[in-house]
Amino acid sequence: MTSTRSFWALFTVLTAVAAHLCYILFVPPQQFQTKLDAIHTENGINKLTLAAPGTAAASIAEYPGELIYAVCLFDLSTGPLRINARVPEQYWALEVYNTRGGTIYTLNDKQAPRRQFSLYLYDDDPDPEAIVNAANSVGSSINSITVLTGTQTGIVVIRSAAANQLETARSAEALQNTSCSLATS
Amino acid sequence: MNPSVRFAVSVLVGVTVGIVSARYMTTEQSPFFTEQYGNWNNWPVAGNPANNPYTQAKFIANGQLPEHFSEVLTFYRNQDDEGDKLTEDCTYLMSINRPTARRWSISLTGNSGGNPQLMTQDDIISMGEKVTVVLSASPQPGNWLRMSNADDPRVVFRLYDGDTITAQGPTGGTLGLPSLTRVSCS
Repeated sequence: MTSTRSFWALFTVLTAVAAHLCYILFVPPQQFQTKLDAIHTENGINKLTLAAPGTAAASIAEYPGELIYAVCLFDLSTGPLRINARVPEQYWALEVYNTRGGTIYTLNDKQAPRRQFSLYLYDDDPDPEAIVNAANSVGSSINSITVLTGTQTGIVVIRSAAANQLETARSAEALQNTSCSLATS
Repeated sequence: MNPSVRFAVSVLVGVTVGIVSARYMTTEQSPFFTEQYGNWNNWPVAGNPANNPYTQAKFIANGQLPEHFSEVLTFYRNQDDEGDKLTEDCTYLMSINRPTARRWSISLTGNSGGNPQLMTQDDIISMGEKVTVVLSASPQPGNWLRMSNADDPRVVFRLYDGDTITAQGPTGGTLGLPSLTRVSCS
């Protein structure tokens, strides 16, 4: 009798552990993928779009009152991605995420070499020596940055200051002049 | 008890406990993966690619892409300094020495779905280093964040330049997080 009870108690505990792990590992990523799919359907891939209110991209804009968001879903299976960024002279940050929400790369206005630069995303190492040189040069005179993503798909998010009308106007103008496309196109 | 009934009950209890515990561990009240500074909570590894699955789950389940902690430090609270839950029936006074971060913001959100009430460093009226903000459902002189229509109110304090702040030492005292005292209730 006691061993039967122990068996069912252990079975219940193991079921709880399995359900807990399955939920944590699979449910949120699936929910997030649904959001990414909605952005993909609305805006396409390898294309920068402003996260305007009412759009699918706006769902990732957590602080719309203080920042303007622009997003670019990327797929590097057919080649590297190039972001031609024109950034405002105020706070902004560019972050590259994998599809599980982990940050791959981050750059902000204090770290960027210039107000205009190109950022290249490769999923694999195209030229190790060139990348080392580029990394060493960040912050000096170069205006090209290469990032190895380690993944073919992900999302680039640019957040730019928008706490008042002047900041909002500057950010909107800069982001409208920023592009995201395959480097080969 | 019939074995098939035992099986069904065990699975039901196990799945329920597993899911409820998973959801709890991704809330802001979870003591396991948040850092607490008084009544302020922070997810210290937000945006870190090497972060734990619970931190990842917390953000992406809501469709959020967390800013890397080197960019922005975000703190949350839904209690006053006495540990009582915030309510729109009360008026609160938030005070802080002006943060050294180049940008910062205080916002008030709730579950009602309305726009968050936001105050940035540019909006603050303050003659000195001490900054005070009143959180209340009724208009207040000076810096005021409206609490009305804020079901389950939550205060969010964001400090930009996370890398600089972290280098200074991410302790409550060094960061100088705002205090939040209850002034009165209706």
